[in-house]
Amino acid sequence: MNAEHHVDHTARITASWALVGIPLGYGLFNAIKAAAQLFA
Amino acid sequence: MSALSFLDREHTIAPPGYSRWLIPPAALAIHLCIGQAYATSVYKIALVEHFGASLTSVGYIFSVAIVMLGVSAALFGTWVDRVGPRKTMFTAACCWASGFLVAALGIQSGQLWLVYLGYGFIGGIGLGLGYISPVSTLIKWFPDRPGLATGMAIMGFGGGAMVASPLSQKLLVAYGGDTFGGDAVMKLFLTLAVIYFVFMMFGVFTVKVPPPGWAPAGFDPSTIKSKKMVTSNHVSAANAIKTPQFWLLWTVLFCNVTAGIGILENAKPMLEDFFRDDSGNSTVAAATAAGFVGLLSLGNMTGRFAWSTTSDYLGRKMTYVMYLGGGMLLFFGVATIGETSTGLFVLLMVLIISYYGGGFATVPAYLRDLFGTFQVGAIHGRLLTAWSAAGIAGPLIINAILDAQGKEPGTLIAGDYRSPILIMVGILAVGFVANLLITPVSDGFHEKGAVVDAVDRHHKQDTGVEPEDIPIIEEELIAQRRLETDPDLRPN
Repeated sequence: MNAEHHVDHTARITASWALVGIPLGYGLFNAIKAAAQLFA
Repeated sequence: MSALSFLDREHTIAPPGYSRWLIPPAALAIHLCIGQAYATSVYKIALVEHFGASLTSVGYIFSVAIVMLGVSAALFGTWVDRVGPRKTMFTAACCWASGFLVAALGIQSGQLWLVYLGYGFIGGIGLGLGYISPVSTLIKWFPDRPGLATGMAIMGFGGGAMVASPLSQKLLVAYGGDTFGGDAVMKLFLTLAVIYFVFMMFGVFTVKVPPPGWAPAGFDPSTIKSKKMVTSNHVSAANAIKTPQFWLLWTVLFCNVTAGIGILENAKPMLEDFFRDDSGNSTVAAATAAGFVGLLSLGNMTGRFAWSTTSDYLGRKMTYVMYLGGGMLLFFGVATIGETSTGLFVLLMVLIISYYGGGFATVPAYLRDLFGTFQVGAIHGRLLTAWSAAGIAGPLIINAILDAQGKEPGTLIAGDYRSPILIMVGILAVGFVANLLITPVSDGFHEKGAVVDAVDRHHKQDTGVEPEDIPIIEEELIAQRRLETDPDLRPN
């Protein structure tokens, strides 16, 4: 029972973090791309 | 009304086995959306031209939104704690999205006041509610790591601008070409209203409050009780504002934000003004200035997460000693040796901005340490009035002193910034002393009876357990006992 819960939540946790992580990653990528001009 | 009963706090209690690691993404979903408030510069000029208004008049849209953030967080904080995170997030999403819609109507009809009303007033309420909505829930799910928990959420506010800025730029070009105008901004607002509403609904449907007595596996409440500056008692929001600790912390936040926001607003022109050749032309290339702004965004966001997480180990008071004491040294460095090298200037400024962001993210955990978890959301809401006040004071101080030099923008040099920066050192010194004066809240302000929230009342109906009979001091021990005896309550 607990193992089932665990498996379900692992998938849901991964999906949830991906949902917020993808836009955050997009923002991070653009900020790093802009910041890289400082060192070009 | 019953159709919306799924929003009630009582209906958001996590079932056994619900993972607490689902709560930070829910909080991030809200903060990533409302963080757009710091990406308004993308369309500012287009609005100036569309309305034929001054930069200051258009700038008021953002100012009204930030003032409403503080006002709504302060006024509705107790309501937020009572109704729970789901209803608050839902209300925040409605206000934030409808704010964009009303503002879009204002642009379409050429009525600037509708933009103030929409984005500034209605959207500002969404900002305030959204900002505080996940805080107390996160603190309850992460009693062992409150700094990490609030850092994860409030990092999203910094990250929201990083997402909204390039996204808005792309959408504006798609809607109006390279020389986009007000019509493109109107379409952008309509698009953002839909995107943000849908994204915030993910947070609404994911967030849950922990069941009564829940504690993370392996959590030892005695580790909290052994820390001098961390209370195991509870203070109501009404009592909190009567304590000197609240106002000292208000001063700390006000000083940290005033110094940081004043610099943040002027960061790009400062870089250009600090490095001029003999003929008065800036030696900083446009690409370098853009890179600097990108690096500041990164410093702001990572500071929120990294410093707040560090505060779980360093202690909240010591962390603010670092923000304010370290900040004084960094500001002094900018004023005295900042002009010697671009690299040094950038390094000092990025550290300053990371402390500014860290100050926002660490303050909810500081409040939890001083006042307990009972109404920490409401107390946080009241404290955010310091942000609103600093949002006015910071830019005002810097701009007033620069204006007093009587020079045109683009002709300032490093020496012109020395006075306002040294004033910021003084402001940080005031915050530094205020932080040192913070001591544990005296017993007279602690709640005398048992502290029961809506979740516990619901639990009583289900089980017949009388949480009112449980002395506060034993709550954590009872939680531990429940965990030991009830395998269903053990978290993953």
